[in-house]
Amino acid sequence: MLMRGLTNIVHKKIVMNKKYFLMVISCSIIVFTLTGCNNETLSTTPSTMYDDYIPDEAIFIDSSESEKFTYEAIIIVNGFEDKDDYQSLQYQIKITSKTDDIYENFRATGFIPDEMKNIMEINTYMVFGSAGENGTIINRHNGQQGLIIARTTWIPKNIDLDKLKSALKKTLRVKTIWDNGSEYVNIKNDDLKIQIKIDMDI
Amino acid sequence: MKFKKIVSTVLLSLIVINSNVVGFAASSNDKYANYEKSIKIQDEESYMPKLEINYSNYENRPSYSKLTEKSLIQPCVVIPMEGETRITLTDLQTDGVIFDDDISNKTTLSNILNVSLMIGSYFATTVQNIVKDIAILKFGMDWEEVELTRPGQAKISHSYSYYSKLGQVWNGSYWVTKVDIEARKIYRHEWASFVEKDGAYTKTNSYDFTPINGYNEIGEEKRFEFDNNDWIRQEAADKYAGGWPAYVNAWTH
Repeated sequence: MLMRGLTNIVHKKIVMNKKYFLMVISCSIIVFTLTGCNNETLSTTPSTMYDDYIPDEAIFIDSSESEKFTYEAIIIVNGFEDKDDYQSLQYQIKITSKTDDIYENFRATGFIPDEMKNIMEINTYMVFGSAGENGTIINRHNGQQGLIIARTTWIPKNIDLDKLKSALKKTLRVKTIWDNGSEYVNIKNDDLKIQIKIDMDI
Repeated sequence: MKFKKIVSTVLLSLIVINSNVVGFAASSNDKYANYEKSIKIQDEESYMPKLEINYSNYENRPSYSKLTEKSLIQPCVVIPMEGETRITLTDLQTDGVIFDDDISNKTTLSNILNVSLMIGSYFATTVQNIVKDIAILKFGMDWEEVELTRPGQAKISHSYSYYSKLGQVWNGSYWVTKVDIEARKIYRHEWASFVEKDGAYTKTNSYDFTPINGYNEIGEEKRFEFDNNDWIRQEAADKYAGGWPAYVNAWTH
């Protein structure tokens, strides 16, 4: 009788321990899952935001020779409100389809000349354009003529004007890519529209 | 038996969860398959920032109480005793790398205007705010000129500027760095894509919310003991007395 009672107690304890064990495991999984989902650690993988990759086999043609697109580049200095020591610099490239072809997943990247690196205050990335996983559609049948990519940044007011003009006139390179196609172009000085709205310490 | 069944179920669930994670990672790698391998696929390994600090630049520089505060010429020079310690902050440096945080789906803009985009727990905004920033501030448009019934997208990312707190010891000639603990300020970057009202062009632009534009950091991360000046001074004194190399706790060096 006594033995049976003891056996029952031990058995119940084992069952209780199992239940306790299961509860601990379940709680651990829930906590693990929740902390995993709400991980506050910021991303440590550098951005793939802009497509700045130029394959070795890429051949850059003059933008005016493109049979697919018209490229219009405009660079505006001091077009926006200025800061105490800085003024705005805008690069804007308008890409318009010349044909009735439909371009799916169309993306474009503009490459700012290296000469601007010593002038731009935020010079840690010298590209701009499409980002994200999906590009846009260019389809003139639906009125979608093209894409405008732009970058707005800041340059010092006390920059030497000749140095600035010289750097702004350097060739802008553009990469366009879509499903089953790509094009690489140079927009040369003659095709760049540069507007400097003078308010500089020169 | 019942216990075994439950344990098996739990293990199976864990395996399924893990395989989903692996599967998701693999599928996200396939996202550029249509671009004829033209787009570089980023190394999935964590990025290790690399920046150098030239300690000799700080051997004789007066210590700053704040990063932005310029040093003042002291009315009289007090020569320190050998072994005396001090705290010095280094200049901010950036490695120029931007890290992706949140991106909205590319879909009809009106459907995602209220979607939240976040940089960890440091910053939160909505797609509408980002598109407004870009359309109004950067393209000089009115909000009414943005086509809400066409696809749009917004993205938020961050970058770091790094600086160190140095524990230095006077060796009789100059301040020797014996402790270097790093902190980093976090800045946000926004990007948006949308269609203008007449529908002819999709527009994209980005904006850097950095001190030049008048924006402060959205947060700051610090290595262990960064705020413990007493510990830094003591550690620097101990390292100097023992002839040990400097203690460095940093992301970048």
